[in-house]
Amino acid sequence: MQTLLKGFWSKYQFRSKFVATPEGEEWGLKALRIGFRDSPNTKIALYLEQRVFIAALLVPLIYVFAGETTNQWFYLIAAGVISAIVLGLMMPLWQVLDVTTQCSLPNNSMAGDSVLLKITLERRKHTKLFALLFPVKWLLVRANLVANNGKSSVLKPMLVEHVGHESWVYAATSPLRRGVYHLHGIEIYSCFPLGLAWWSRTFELKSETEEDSRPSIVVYPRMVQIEGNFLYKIRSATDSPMGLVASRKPTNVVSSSVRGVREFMHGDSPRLVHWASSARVGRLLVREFEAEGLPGYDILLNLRANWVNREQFELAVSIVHSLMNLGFKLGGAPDLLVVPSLDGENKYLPYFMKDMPALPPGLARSGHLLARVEPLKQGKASATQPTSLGESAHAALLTIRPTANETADSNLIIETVDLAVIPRTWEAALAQEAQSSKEAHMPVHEGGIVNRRGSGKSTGRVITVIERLEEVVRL
Amino acid sequence: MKMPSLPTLPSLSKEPKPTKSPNTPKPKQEVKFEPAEDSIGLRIVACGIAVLCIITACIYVNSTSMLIFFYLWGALTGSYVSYQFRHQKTFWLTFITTAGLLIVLGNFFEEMFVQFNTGKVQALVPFIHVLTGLQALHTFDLRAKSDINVSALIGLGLFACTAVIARDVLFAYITLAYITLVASLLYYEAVSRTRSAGAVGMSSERAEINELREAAVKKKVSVGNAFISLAMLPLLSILVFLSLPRVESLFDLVLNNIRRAQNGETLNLTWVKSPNGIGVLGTVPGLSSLPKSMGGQGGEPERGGKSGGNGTGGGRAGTAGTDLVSGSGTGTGGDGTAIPGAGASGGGAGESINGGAAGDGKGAKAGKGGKNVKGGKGGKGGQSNKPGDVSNTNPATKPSVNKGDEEKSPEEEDKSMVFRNKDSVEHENELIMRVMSSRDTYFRRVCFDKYDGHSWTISSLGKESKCSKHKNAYQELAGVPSLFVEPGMHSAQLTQEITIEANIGHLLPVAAIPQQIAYPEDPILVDQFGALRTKNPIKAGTHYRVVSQVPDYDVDEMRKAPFDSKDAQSTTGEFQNYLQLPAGLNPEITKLAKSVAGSEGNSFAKAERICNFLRRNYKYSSDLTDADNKEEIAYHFLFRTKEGACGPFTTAFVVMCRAVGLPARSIGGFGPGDFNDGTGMHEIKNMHGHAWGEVYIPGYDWVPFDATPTGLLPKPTPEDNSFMGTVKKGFEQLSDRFNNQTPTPPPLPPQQASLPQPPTGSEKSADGQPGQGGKSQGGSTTARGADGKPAKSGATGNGAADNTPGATRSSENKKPETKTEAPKAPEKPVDWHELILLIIVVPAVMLLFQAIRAAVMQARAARKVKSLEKPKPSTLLYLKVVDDLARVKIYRLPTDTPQDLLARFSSDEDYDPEVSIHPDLEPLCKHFMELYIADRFGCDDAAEMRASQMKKLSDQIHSLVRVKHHDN
Repeated sequence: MQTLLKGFWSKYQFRSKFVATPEGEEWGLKALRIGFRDSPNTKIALYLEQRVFIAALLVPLIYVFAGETTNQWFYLIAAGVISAIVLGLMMPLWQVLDVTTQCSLPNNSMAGDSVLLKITLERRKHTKLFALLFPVKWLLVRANLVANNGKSSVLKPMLVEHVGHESWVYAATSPLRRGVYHLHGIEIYSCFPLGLAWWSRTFELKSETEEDSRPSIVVYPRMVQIEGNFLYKIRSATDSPMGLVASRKPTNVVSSSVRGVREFMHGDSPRLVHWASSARVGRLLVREFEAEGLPGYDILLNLRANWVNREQFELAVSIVHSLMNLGFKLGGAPDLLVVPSLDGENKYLPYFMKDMPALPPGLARSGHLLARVEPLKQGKASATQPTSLGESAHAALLTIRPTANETADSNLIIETVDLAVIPRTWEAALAQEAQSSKEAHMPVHEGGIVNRRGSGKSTGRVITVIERLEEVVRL
Repeated sequence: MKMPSLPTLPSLSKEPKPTKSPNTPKPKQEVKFEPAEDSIGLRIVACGIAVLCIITACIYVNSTSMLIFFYLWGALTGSYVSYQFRHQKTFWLTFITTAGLLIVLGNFFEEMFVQFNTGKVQALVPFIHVLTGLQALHTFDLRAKSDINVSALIGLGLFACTAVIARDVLFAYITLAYITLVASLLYYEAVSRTRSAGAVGMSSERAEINELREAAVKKKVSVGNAFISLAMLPLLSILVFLSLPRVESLFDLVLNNIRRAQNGETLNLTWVKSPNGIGVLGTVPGLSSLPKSMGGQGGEPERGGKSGGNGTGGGRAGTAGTDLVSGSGTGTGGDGTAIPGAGASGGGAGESINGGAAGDGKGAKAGKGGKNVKGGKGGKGGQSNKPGDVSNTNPATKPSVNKGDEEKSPEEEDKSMVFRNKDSVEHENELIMRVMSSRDTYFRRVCFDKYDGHSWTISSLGKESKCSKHKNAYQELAGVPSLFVEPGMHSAQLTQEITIEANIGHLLPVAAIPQQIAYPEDPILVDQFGALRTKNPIKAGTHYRVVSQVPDYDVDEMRKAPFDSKDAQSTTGEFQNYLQLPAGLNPEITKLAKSVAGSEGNSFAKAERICNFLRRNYKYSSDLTDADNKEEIAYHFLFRTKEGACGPFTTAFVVMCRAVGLPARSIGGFGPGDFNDGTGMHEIKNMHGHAWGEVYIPGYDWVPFDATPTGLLPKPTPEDNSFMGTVKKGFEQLSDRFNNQTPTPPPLPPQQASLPQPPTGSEKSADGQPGQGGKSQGGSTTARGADGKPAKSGATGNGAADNTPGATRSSENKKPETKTEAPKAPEKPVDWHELILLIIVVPAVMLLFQAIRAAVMQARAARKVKSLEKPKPSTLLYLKVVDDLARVKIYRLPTDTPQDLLARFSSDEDYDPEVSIHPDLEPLCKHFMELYIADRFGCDDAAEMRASQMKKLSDQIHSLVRVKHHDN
């Protein structure tokens, strides 16, 4: 069974290329765990550490010894150990049962930023005397904030020395990585006062079946403002002598400066028709805005590219995110194309797309998508849906791909990425990749580079090589 | 401000991956060391536990003061040193520990060697010394939490070993202190573990109406109420201790229920019942309260003894409470010196069991009395007026027998009905035996079946069974017919270790129905009554172990058992000698017996009615010494005096039982005695001699009945070892107080031993009539009996002027001294203290200097880093960076976060043209802050890597700041 599962996993097409480094090591209690559910939304667990068993072993020993020696004080010692076990088991349970929690957290953040969670702890209504006799102290509170590709919480438990009627704790995460983090619940731990056993109570925010409705934080990739100087290079990279002028529909015109007029194209708003000029020349002319003059582009991100490590991939994703923002800022509506396609049926979607909200195409959707994407291992390309390259034949297709290692030294690891403009004909390379797995080791871009050198189709040109995200600013 | 370029930081991910060669050795797995424990509270408590255990052990094994000093010195020094050097491993600490271990082991072997040479090897004390040494030495190695736990476990082991020796009440207090300390240890450790598991987050509490006041209250609560929680542990321990079933009780429960299940009976899960009549609490020091009739306590204020006469008359000896037949000869008292108030005249027992049989022996010497009063001369030993009865073999008639140099045959001893030591007259408080037992039991010695109206005798010993050692280990008694345990009868096994402390003749005191006895000499003779005799007299110092079956009578069940007339008839025929009554018994007794017993119910019910009748309607008063009584004892008791000691009670009970056709017999022996808090053993003294009856109940064999008002047999008192039993007992005592039933005063040391043995003097009526016990010629005092009952003055002196009643009272009210024999320390022929001084003290001085130096350094460091109580290394580095940034005029405000601090680099408000900041400083700081935040709030496992990076960065910042500073 294990072998079967391993085999299945090795052939799974959406297997992540890099083993996800754990965001946080699960707070380890080397103990026997006994858990049960005390209410629909709360679970209680008892952690019995080694020391409890030692104490439990001591009791019969001392007890029998007391019988053998007929010394009453052995019974007193045994009674002490029994009492310690009883109190050690019962009092922490009382602590966790007496406290309820609530938590509030932001909806989104950016990679590298810390997130502040506010956790409110409230005791049940008690008199002061009762609170004096049964204090709630030394609680460990942990928000179980788990990344969608992680298994453990990214937050350490927070220590609360004393809980009065109501207390609250601010838990700051470490700088978060890109991804989607779900708040599974709030856990409180206590071993007060004797530390013999830990009790924990987990306040689940939603039931298991409604996983999507859990509070979550979307951590978008890092983004920098790009000046856009590289756009002129796109023009020269295309086959058209006209460049990519007015290649995009002004769906999101941000500039009010009118550059001139042009012919009406399908999809132009009638409001933009310059009626005077149209009447003069006898055909429909529409206003051409300044922004429209800039070349439009779509962006392709190949998850199956030969990413050498996670940092390289993160750099690529951040650049893509920045380029997407630039595109929208310039008034265009660039498409984010992902290989393999993420638009297919649900069963073909990789795991990180399971919780993708249904959003219309746009910056929000691309942001959510980029927050989730993971580099994938090579799989059967035929099993995936063919990637749609969009309808526009005029917009350039930009891609961020790993810089190829052109030297003979195979041990050299190059972490830089290429910003390249490629024609939309790279589908053929993709098909080639499907036919020959050996050749398809570098499915698109490596092949494209080879082709660029003269043999076969031209798949684009490298505009620049980027080592750090900050370099994109002046791009 | 110039925007600095980003520095290139080393990244692990950029390093080329190491190529694996097949011959590359596998890298050694890194051993993760447990972090050092910083909690001072935890260490103080651990040190306290070590000190407590060491002191306790040394006190109870009588260690020399030098040894105690070194142990304590080691524990205290070790605790301090291990705290100071918890972050480093030093050679000299290892050396000290190793050297100390060698010394401790050397001491162990030396002690064992000395013991071996003296021929008395007892490994416990040397072993305790080893553990004590280990405890002291281990304090040098209290680096981490696990070490402290090990130290506490060693302490527990040491404590348990000490508990084998320590049985006094002081040890209970020490145990409670130990439990309290352990609770504190667990608390501090729990806090430490909780702290290490979670980062201290920002938290706040909602202030309510009066913010300041509330805050103050909450602050107090947060500090104080943890200790309230901790105090619950010792309290709960006491409650659990009181309600914890003892091992025997638990076994009894299991075994009895197995038997019940086999017999098809319903299971009885009330395991807390104590089958022997006294709850387990009775064995708990300080909680035992023995009934009066057992001599455990009681005794009314002694009547002031009148001053004696001219010294010729010994006072009448007090009764011991074990008398069966009153009577003693009249004669002159002993001529010994008697001290008022405590003197035990040999004038004779007032209520000796077989006093009437006293012969013409000379009066015993007057006993020595109390210590704090001047003694008057005791009366002369009484001279027998008439020749003694044939049966009189009273050893006390000759003074010499007090020394045990005159031995009698077992038969003589049996017939003389010696319940006590021979010299009990003189030594009422003399210790007879010590018993280590988990329960209070009666100790059966002898049984009488023949009653002539004035005395009890044994008709015949019957066929005696000889029991020899089985496998050289113990004598098996289970096969003896007279010690047969009825099948189906519920009983509990009880093992007792008995040490005889006086010469007591040939009769072995044993509890209930003995089944095995490990007596040093063979053979053990068992007569038809189940009494155990030895061939040679039992001498002081004899030690033996008895395993007995203690019947657990279910009185409800016994009452409900149907009466079988055929059974009764066969019983009557079989036990004819147990139905014997003296000729001329007053018919009033029979009439009374029949009216009391009634016609309904079975034998047990009738016997119980008689027993209850006597308990309720007759008063226990052992000071009744009706010397002139010539009537039959039972009649005299039932219709005349209506009060008496256990002898008349027992006689009346047996006679009444016999009068209604119930086979009955008299038993002589001892009550449970006093529980000595100092030794943890029951001490049975002369005063604890007791008598009770046994009635044959078909199906249950001989069932004991103690007809005295406070008698417990056969049914246990309601008290048990359960918590509710204790509470109930407390309420009863309270109600007694409200009802003006003042608790019985503490036991009085009897003036004179009430002699269960024949009168020690010559006070013997020649015709065998009940004599007047110890009637003093000159003495007008009335000595009063032992067993803790009111005693008349035992003053039998010659009327010394200072023989005042007051003096007598004061001396008699004095509690009997408890003889606690402390264990002897093993001899130490080799004095190696100087050697130890040389080996330990010199390094100790060095250590002390080192410790002081370390303390001074730490104090300086603590003064420097005073912001946080227990800063993490990353926090220290952060504070260092903050200090460094202050040099370039970038100050951190109290509310600033690390990000705020970074923002000050580019803030125009903080721009100072005079200060030039190195362009690398900001990115370095930024990276440092990222790492700091990750370390403070993150929970990945790269802490070590981060720590090294942060250290490197802080050093870089440190140098950058200073370089620029100097450049300026």
